[in-house]
Amino acid sequence: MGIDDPRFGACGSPLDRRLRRRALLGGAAALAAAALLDERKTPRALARQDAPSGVLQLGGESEPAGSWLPFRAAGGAETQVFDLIFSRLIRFDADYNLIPDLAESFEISPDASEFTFNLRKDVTWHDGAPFTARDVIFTYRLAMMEEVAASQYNKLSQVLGAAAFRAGESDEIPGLQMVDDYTVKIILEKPNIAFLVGAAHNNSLIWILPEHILKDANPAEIDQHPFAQNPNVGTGPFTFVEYVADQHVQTDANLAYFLGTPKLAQVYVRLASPATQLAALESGELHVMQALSAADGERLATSEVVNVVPTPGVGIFQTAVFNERIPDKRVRQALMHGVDRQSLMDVVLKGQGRLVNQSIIGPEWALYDDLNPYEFNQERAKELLAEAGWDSSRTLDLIWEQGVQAIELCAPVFQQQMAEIGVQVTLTPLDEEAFEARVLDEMDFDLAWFGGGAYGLDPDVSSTYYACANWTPNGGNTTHFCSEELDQLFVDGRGTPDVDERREIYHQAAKILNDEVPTIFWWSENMIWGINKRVEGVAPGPNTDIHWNIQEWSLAE
Amino acid sequence: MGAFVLRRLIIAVPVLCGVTLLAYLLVDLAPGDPVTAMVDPSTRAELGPEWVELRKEQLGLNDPAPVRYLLWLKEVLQGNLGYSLIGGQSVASQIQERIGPTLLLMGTALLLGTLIGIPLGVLSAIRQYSLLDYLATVGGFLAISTPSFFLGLGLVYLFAVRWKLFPSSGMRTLGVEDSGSDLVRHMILPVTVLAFAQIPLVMRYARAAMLEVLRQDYVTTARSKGLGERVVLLGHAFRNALLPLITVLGLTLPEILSGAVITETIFQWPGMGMLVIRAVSARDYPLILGTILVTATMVLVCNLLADLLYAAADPRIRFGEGRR
Repeated sequence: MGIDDPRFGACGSPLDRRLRRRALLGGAAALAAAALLDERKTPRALARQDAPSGVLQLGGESEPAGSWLPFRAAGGAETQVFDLIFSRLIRFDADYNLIPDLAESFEISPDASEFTFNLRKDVTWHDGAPFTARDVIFTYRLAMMEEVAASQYNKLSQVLGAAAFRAGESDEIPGLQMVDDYTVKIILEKPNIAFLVGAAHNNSLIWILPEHILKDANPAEIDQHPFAQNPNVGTGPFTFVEYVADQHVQTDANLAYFLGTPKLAQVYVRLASPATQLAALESGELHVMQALSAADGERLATSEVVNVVPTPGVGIFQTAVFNERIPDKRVRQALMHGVDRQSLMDVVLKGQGRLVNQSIIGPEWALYDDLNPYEFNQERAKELLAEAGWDSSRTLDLIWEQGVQAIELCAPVFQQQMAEIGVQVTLTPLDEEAFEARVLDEMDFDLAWFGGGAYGLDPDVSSTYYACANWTPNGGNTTHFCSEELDQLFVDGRGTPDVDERREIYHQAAKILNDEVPTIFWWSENMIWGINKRVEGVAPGPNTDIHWNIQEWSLAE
Repeated sequence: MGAFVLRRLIIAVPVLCGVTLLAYLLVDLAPGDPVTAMVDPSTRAELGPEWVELRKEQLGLNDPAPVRYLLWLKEVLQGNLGYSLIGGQSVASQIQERIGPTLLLMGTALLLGTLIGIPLGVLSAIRQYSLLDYLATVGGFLAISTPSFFLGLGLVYLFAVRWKLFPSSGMRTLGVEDSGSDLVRHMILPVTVLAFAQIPLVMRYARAAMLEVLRQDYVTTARSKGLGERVVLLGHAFRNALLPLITVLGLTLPEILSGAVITETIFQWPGMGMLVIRAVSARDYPLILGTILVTATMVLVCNLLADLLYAAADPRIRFGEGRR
């Protein structure tokens, strides 16, 4: 039904394509949607051949907080549900190509500071009310209000006039314009092509909320609004039915979905611990589970029930070096050379990952290989330490959040190999809150081990972690690394939508990060999906948002 | 007896206040707060300290701890358990949602454990050193020393993954109309795990109590009077052996409402145990205090109940009438 291929194109880089092509949705799609709209009112009256059927179970990544408004720093399960029940202006497919969602096309000004979204005219809310630009403006204004404390504001603060609006100095937001009922324009204070990119909690592409339901809500008490407990009016492929804590979230097919009626009748997000999910996946009850461990992936490779699908990860396993205490890059380089990362990765990840030597690890167009691979070479490490005049009586304290298996396996080996090159390391596992306090609040550590992040989404994500302005506690730069040259490259990279230009800029940035090693880069772990063999139409890629085409999924008998 | 019950109920009030105060202090001393507990470190670093501060202010976390406790107490005395800091739902409704499933799961397991455990223990005692006694003793020790997570995961692997006889987790089959038989199918594995822990406990106590009683003079007297073995065992011995059992059952009874954390987690059973774990890991103060209040009340009520049952089982015990 509807559009066969909602993507803009099939090759080339996303930003490239974004400029070159526009999604053209013909009148046929609009007619189909109108027909579906009638059907929605009497779903049982019309028994069609392709009526939705099948009940799919997705593994929930975490227990939701219980407030179904997309303004909190949401966990994985909320993100999954929001993707099912709401829509955004545009979104990404499995390979991080931008694809149309509520906006059928959009334009970016050549200096990457103005974004114009042309909205679809055939979208209705689940209660039948028409969707217009007013809903978009309403949602963005809400997210910018201080009382709402939206986690996305971090990103939206870049919109022209957002700060004055938030401070209550102005009711107008010059950077947020409703051109007409179906056109929205966002203007940024400074050019930033990466404005559109970010993990769910920090993304300018918020799930759009219904103004006609929420317009009278008190922003300060928005979590207490009935809609926050029962968000049954969205525009997504599925409609929210119920949330049963520690059990599931039920959603039913939205027959009037603007990208075509979903093939599945119901999707449940099943909430359970990973061990419980794994059992349900193996027994065939659960259909999609993310983040299988490498060992489980290996074990299930021969399963008759499950397909194991590894995709490149976007996070980086790293040992952050507090640069203020270790300012000499030769010492940091020595740490990289001194440890046998490859052997450890073979043991821990069983081949499900790649070594990384700097943090710009995706998307594909931004990759650059002509870099120092920091092969395991303890002689070289000793030379570098000698050059830097390393004091071998000095001890480095390594902290991490206990319970992360990969770190616990690697830390003793790291300690021993560091001792071999003359660097004494003490191991200090901490509980979660104590670890966070040491790294983010007290900024008191030599080495801090963690994994994660969303580096692979866009090269600009690295600026969050390595730009001078983002030193903790004011940002995500935990290492307190600072390079003006790199900062300038990040600014330049944000300032153009041209992919070839950006590629060149980020190759320079990659060289600096590779040479300076602000942190000990280890590897990027593959995201391993476990997908029931009956599920058809699912296309996992680097993007963990696997649901981008869920309306096309189906379950074989 | 009425006076006794009343006195116990009055004492319960300061006890409950003490329990919640202690819980509050402990939770407050633990590092972290609901805002930082909900976001992972890299997210928190990106959002910056202002966002954390703003959320804390909104949730009222910047008030001093004693003020927050007293505010909570004031609301509780008015019958309001407050709202979850994380999701904004009312604590009372969250607890209410959990009581049904917990009661069903724990109640069935305790009932089963008792119904199987007592006869098994009594039989073991009557036929001491018989094959049945040895089997029950060895089996009981095996069962009681098997950790529930091990047994639970083992059962899931065999019965759900391998043989696909029972569902691996949850309370109902998703996408299918609710039905009693579906519920029973989901209950079998978790109830088995819980009953496995309960049966040997009850059995061992029943056996010990029964052995003790069987050696008493009055049993010999009853036998010498020419009473039938059946009457001696059930009418004279068993009735007296019940007393220590009432204590044991009185102690396990509160679990009916407090739930079993590990078993509930493995089988994804939406009971009180999971709610408590969730509340604690999210540092959701109102939810923690609410669940503790309910559990503590249950313990007090069950203890009272056990005392009253004592009197029913043993006519020598009288309350508050000046003699024993």
